[in-house]
Amino acid sequence: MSNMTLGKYIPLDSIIHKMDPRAKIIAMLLLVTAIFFPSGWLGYGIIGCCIIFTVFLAKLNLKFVLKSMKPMITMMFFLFIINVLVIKSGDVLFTIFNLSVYSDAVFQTLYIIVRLILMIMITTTLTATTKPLDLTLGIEDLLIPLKRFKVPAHEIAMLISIALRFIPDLIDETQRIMKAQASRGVDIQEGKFKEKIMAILSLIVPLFVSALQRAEDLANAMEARGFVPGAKRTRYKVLKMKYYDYILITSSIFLVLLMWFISRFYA
Amino acid sequence: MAIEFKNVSHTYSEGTPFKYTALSNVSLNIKQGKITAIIGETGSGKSTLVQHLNALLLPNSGEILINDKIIKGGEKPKNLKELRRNVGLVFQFPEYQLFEETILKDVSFGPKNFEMDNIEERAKQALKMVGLDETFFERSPLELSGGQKRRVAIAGILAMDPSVIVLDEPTAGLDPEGAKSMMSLFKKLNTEYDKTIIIVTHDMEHVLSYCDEVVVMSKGIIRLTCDVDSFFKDGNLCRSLGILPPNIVLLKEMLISKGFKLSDTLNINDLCDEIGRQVKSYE
Amino acid sequence: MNIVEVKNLNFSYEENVLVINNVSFNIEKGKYTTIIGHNGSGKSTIAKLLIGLLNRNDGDIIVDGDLLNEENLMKIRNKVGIVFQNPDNQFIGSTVRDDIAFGLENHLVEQKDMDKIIEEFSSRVKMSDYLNSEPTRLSGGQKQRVAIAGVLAMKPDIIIFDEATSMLDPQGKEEIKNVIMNLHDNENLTIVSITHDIEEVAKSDKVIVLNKGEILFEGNPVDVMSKGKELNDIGLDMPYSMKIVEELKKRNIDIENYVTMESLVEDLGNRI
Repeated sequence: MSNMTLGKYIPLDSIIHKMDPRAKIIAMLLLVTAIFFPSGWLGYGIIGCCIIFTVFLAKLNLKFVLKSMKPMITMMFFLFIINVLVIKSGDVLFTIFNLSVYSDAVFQTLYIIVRLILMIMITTTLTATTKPLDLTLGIEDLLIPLKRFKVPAHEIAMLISIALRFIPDLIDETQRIMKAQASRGVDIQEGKFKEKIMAILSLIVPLFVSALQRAEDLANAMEARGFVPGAKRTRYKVLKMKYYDYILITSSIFLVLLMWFISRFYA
Repeated sequence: MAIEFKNVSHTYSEGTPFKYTALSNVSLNIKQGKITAIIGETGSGKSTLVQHLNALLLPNSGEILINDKIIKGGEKPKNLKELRRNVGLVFQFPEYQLFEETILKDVSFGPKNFEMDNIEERAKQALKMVGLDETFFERSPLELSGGQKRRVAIAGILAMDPSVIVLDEPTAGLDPEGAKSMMSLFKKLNTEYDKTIIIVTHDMEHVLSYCDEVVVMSKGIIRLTCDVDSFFKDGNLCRSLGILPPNIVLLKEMLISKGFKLSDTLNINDLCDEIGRQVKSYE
Repeated sequence: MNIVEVKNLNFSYEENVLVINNVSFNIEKGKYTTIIGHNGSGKSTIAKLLIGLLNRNDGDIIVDGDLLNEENLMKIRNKVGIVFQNPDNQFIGSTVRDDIAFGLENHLVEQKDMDKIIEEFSSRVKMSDYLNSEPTRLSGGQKQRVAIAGVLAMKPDIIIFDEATSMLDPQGKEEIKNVIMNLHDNENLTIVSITHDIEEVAKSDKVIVLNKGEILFEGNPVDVMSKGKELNDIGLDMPYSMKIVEELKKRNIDIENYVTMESLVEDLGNRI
């Protein structure tokens, strides 16, 4: 778990960390859009440079960002195999076991992999520089216009932030129950299928019971402190855009336009 | 059965920025057939220590001797089953580990995992030991009161027939009466069934009334090990370790400062005899 | 003056099993009332009934002149704050600051006033240095202090402590008891504490003893604690000084009932 870098917040003091989460979310969406233009190696090179520059500004370690790619490696490999089997156009590069590998298969796969890498780099930079709770606030604010269509923006944000708040507690609880059951002879690694099922049940049932208890306590505590679902509330954390937030959004828009231009006239 | 710690250290998350040393160079002997209390402030390493007793946690360095089993720091021991069965560990709020449909099935879970014989007999026997009779056997553990659930959980460990029972704050959250009867249960397990008992606790009244030996921990080291009577003989020893002495010690100190002459007794009856005699001699 | 009046209160979770059976009592304004009883005696149920988290079967609950009903619920909840038993499960915000703000947001406090309020009330429970701390970094006692700050920030007239110290270590218990005592002495708040701690009861103004959903005794702590054996019979502890008094009486020593060790020793000291 501790090696997982995808989605982990890294507390550092950088301009990117200080930015408004809304600006960062909008920039992320714009950059992802930019990636979807078929702008070729030139385009991807430009986007890549921009992202690396951002990572640098955020004082993050480039290695750390690349590490978040790890869980994707197997997926990329499978993608390659499938493409090799399916795509049969372009030149034959080489043949193994009567299977011809075509150039398009390789290029297509590389394209997709590069896009994936770029997207993961963007998301990692976002989550590494933005506290989960600030992300929630950002999402809430961006969803506000959707209130007209009965999207409960505030409730969604509240739900996410409470879930985030209780994740460490639930991890602790899980470890405690696992240890308690291990003390009663449970060994997840060994045993027959039926024993394994029992081992899992002995973890899941207690977790469920205690989560329900927690939920009840929490509901009581929230209600006792004057929370009424759907009622009007004021808000403690108010997000404010600064000049650098506008710079971020503007440059992201510029990048999208540039990619459109490249894909239209160069690629 | 002897339990011995030799220079045991344990560090959580070694090699990360969150590195935290919970035990440093702990050496300790726990006497067979006694009730030993492990005390110390929150975060002093008590829970980490007891989780070494059945190898849920392994030492980074040092050596632990439990019965004939030797666990060496940095080595991954093989075949822990017999150790896990022989040292029954009851976690804090153990009622949260119940999961079976019936109480009897839940108590049988441990013996089943250890492939013991006469499972049902053992489970029934264990439930009787904790004071739950036949009427409980087929009921769901979830419909019991908090104190009863905890007894079921303890029975689940007893059914494994361990020779050592380790309890991490077994009276937390119980009312005074519930706590007292829980402690009497452990005393009974010790005297009638010859179990070695190790209890992590914050309650000095319990230590005084039910335990034989004390281990005082602080910041990952053992500050003191001694028998209960000498531990409470002088209130200042407790205070120097950051522990509030039990009521009888406080009362004796106050009485002595008023001019009473009192013996070393920690028994309420003897103390009241002494007070009574002295008060009457002045009447 | 009575700030809370409870008349003929009945409550059951299942039909025909009364958890609270015809309970009536008053709570005086500005006083420190303790409610004791063994687990399952109905103490915590009463706390939940008082703030309308549970609905009573029948009987009246009157808070500061208003009958507790659907219409007055919010008005009454503004006057009555509660601190629960489990420190983790009532910590709603992701930091101390956010947790105190949670109640303020519900009470429509304006954003520009919040920081000042948060700073004021966190300092009252000595948590100002931890405003940006996450709950996993705090001890149980610290989390309960944050819960108290959160309640205080809503400026209630009454605070209910529902076994607020029972899951804490000795140090945490001491911290919270001191905070409660301080609120009682200096803030003119009405305090209702549901507790097992007999030494806390001895320091309160009034105690209500519950057994099997009924009130068994009610009155000042010295009188109630003097019942000694009767309390023992329903599974309650008595103060250590009362245990000594009972023992001395058995030895034919004529002595008054004392609920604190200091007063007992004072008396004994004067005899020799």
